[in-house]
Amino acid sequence: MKRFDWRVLSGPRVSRRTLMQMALATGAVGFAQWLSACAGGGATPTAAPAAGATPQAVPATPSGATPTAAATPAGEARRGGTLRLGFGIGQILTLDPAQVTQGIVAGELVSNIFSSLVQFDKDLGLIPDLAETWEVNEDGTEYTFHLRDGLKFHNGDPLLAQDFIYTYERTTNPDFASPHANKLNLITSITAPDELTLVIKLSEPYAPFLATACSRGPGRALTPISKRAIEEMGDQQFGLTPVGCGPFMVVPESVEVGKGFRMVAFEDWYGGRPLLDEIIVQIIPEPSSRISALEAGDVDMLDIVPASGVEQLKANDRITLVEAPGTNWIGLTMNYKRPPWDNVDARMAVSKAINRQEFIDKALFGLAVPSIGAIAPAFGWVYVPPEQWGENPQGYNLEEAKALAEKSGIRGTSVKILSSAQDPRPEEVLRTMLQEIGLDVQIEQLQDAAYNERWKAGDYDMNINGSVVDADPDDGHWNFFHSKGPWNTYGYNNPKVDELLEGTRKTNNQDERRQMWHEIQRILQRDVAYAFLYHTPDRTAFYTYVKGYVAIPEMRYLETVWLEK
Amino acid sequence: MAREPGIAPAQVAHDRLSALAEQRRAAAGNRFWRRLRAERKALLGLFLVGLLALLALVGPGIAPYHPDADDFGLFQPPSLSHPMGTDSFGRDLLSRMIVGTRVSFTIGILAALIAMVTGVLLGLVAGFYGRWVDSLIMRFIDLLWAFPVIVLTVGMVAIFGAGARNVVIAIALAYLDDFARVVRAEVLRLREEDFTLAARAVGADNLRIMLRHILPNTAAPIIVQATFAVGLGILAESGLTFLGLGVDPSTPTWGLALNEGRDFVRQAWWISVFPGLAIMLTVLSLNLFGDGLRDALDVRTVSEAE
Amino acid sequence: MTQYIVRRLIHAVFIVWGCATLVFFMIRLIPGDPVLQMLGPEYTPEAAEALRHKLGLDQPIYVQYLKWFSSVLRGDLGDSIATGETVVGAIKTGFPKTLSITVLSFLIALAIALPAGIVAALKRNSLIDYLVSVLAFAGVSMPGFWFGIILIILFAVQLRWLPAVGYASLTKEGFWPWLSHLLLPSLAVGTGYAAILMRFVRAGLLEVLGMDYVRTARAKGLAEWTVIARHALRNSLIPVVTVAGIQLALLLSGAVVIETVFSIRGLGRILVGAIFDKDYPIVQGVILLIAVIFVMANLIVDIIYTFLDPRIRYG
Repeated sequence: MKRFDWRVLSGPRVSRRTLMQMALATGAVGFAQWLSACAGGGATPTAAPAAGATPQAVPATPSGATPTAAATPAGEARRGGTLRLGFGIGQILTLDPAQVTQGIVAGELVSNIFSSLVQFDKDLGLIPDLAETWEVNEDGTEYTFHLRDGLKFHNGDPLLAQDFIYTYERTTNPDFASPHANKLNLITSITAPDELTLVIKLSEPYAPFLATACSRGPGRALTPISKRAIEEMGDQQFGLTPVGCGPFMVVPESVEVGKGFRMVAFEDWYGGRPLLDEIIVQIIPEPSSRISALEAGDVDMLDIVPASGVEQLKANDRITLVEAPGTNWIGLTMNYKRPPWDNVDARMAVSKAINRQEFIDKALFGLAVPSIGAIAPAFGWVYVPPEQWGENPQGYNLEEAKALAEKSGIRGTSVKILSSAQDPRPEEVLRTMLQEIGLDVQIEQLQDAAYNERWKAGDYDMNINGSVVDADPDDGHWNFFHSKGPWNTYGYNNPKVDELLEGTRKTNNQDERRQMWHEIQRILQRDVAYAFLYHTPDRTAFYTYVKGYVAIPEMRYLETVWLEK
Repeated sequence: MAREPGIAPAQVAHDRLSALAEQRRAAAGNRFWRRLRAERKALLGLFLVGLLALLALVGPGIAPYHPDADDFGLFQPPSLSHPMGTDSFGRDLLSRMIVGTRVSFTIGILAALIAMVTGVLLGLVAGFYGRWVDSLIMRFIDLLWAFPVIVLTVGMVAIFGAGARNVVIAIALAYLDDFARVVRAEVLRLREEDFTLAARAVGADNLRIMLRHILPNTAAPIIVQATFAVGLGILAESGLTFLGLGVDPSTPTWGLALNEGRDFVRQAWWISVFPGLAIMLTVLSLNLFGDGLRDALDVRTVSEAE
Repeated sequence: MTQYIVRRLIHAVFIVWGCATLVFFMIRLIPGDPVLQMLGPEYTPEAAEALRHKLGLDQPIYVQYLKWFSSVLRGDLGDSIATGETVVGAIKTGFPKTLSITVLSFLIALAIALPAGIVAALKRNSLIDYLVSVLAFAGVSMPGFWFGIILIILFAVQLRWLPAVGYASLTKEGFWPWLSHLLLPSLAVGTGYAAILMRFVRAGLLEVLGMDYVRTARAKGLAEWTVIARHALRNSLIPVVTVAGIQLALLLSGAVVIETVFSIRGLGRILVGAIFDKDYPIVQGVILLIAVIFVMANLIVDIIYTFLDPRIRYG
């Protein structure tokens, strides 16, 4: 096996290509997939938006020089103004990076309040953030970061290498119970030879380390925290009114849980004062109210556009809809621990009864692409579109489905599908489709807390779920299909899949790896580990006077945004 | 939620107050019917309720399509073949509405019945026996009352899970106290009436007095209250569904249809307008009927106007 | 009378205690672990255990209860599990919003109900009476969220007169921002409320109009409107005010649907959100407050009744 030189990960800039090669070479395939997907690079047939995409829908991955959305071809960036951001969540549980578990809060809010060691550019390469440059040793076990001079926290305190050590200690303190502490497991030492130099040693190479632990947004575990602020206000208050080091600072008096908060420009941000004076984050949990709020002009921008509102916003020519490829897969799981679902014929009958395109048309208004496996279409190097894949044993075939339903004895029986309360559309469409094979589906709707607990405990017959993007979507396979995967709550256990999954982490030959992933996909299809359903894109929307937005999938870095009004 | 600006407690207060005002309640059936006929609102309400009840009975038989058939195209506006259009799944809305009539009515009526039976029993016992029995029961009723309806229903459904049965029980529990109060107030008044005293004087036992003498005399406010409760139950179902706590989404109720339309009010108004109108019309009919009934049963008000 | 009030006060304390205790145990019956909810799907058992310990949720339930109870007696309602804000702080942010909606919707209801009720009573059994009654009942027969959504689309999205969602503080942002945000939700609540009030105005007025003193006033040759305004209406409003007391207390917890549609985080939404998140301290604290308000309103109404009708004996 060829020995890899990890020094290519050194900065001031690591291209996406390098990151991908590195990731592939070291088995962090999921991470590579994410990079590949997010950049949506040339050849990939990215999640094709539904028919009738409007002209103002801007491709998320401009290949040209301008990083901004195409809506701002030649505008002169202006300073000042207030951006009102409608945010779709019940309540923001915390803004403390080390505690955030709500993905959109991490990617879209915390990333504006906190800078980190490195950050993503529009092509998803890593570029400097607080660290001006960095080096990685040949073994990939030692990272040396050189911080910018004169960095400051929002409270005016200098930000130095010691602050990262404090942050490390805080995050990994068992009493603090950070859900992200596990991302720092491999660190054996973290030292500061001088105020501007940070040295981190790992027990073994770990390719996604920069992205999962050190990046702005997803790298929550090592996002630097002001020690003085913590001592002054305590952990709980810090979660409400954090003192960060990013382009915008939270106005403490404005924070109202469940209503939102204000952020103002941080004059001393190393990148210079951001263009906007102020951002008002307004929480609007109801999807229909969120769309109304945008159209009524209550807010200038939405974080995420619900599928049900896409048609309506497309028809509004004052609003720009931006679509970026999201990397995810969604499927139907049938619990192996609950007969008859341990019988592959029963699972196959269900899968074959689902017409994927029709399912997407009805449940998601056509705003997704059919899925044949857990590899998202954006992963160009390994993804094979359904029409080129050849035979997909779990594809739609009603006659075979009926025969299998008869054979496995599920005809005329009933089954419960566990559903969260938010939007049971997919479950409803599924229910109608499965009537065709004589299976009566009852939808069991639960609130999030109860839903998560039941899912985690594997207490369900059927459930629609899948993997959505984070910085290390290798989880998307390993976590769901490895017999010891943490999200394998349905009892899937195929030693061959385990072996292949482990294999993909050991080899660095891309062809070999591709073959392995395809082999895994073939087995997953045959086993009906999941009945794979669809992949969805990431969407945001704003008024046309909002300029300078750089679309980075799942992120909303807002320092480049300005208002033309 | 559930107690959308509720009628019920107001109703309670009203009955308490009219209890003060009234000296005696005439119960003769023919007079009642004559007055009811005079109450045109009530007749209108009765007529509409009757029509809907008929629809609930024969509903599935006359629905043009199967309520789950979803191959008619999404968001088709009302047309001859689909008078109410199709919904966001491509199902015929009219068929779902017709089938939903039965489900919604059943939920409303069952909830009202359970609330009525339990509430009446509690109110009867509390009012009749008075003293510590009354205190005990009424403290429990106060507890139910002071306990916000919303928490009661949301909590119940959260504990026992969504689904028609639990929704019914939750709604019933939330409105039970109204019956208990109405009945108790009546009993308190009737207890002092001549016929009760007379019955006691001739040695009738308590059970007999309660069942033979007092209960029939409380029938009027109970019926009025029950009429309102059915409407409240139907409204509460739609509210619970709005909060994601309604019946299994596979059951076609009006509340569910309304909720499924709420994200598309602008692009497909019919999906939420028809279920909304159906709910409104039904509850309105029940309210008008109940209101007319109250007026018809309320001797004093009627005689004043005559 | 004093003795009765004292006894009712004792009862009131009992009710509040009962509600608080009931909810304490009830919320713990709801499936779902608040700790897992907070940690998200990637939690580790160690982190869950640490958090449970930090929150005191690893102690026996009666110990939790006694601890909570004793801190309530000391005036400390605790901190939210989910967000870390103090329960008192959450109530302080939520209460003004719900109170604003309640008061404004009551005023709107009154503005509709008074004239409608008077007209309906004076023109009893006329076409106007029917129309007014039917319209009023239509208001209370609509699912609140549906009406709310229609109001948003009409006045915010189409006409752009009023904001679609949110709340502006009266003290911080001024009167018009406050009012403009509240008009639509209050209208949605108030129209339903109006039907009830209108019924009472009508019924009360009808009753009073038949009384001797009104007849006397009329006989004295006073103008019809003077009779109604000076004599009849004033007396017929007593029950209205009584009912309003109960309704106000009810609305405080009942506006959750409207609060959701309009994205206003008032008491109702705080409470329901906390039930969903299993945020025990918030649920307990808010219920405590609502129970207190409720019981007090109820007590006052009952006392008024006793004054009104000496025949009602409280054994």
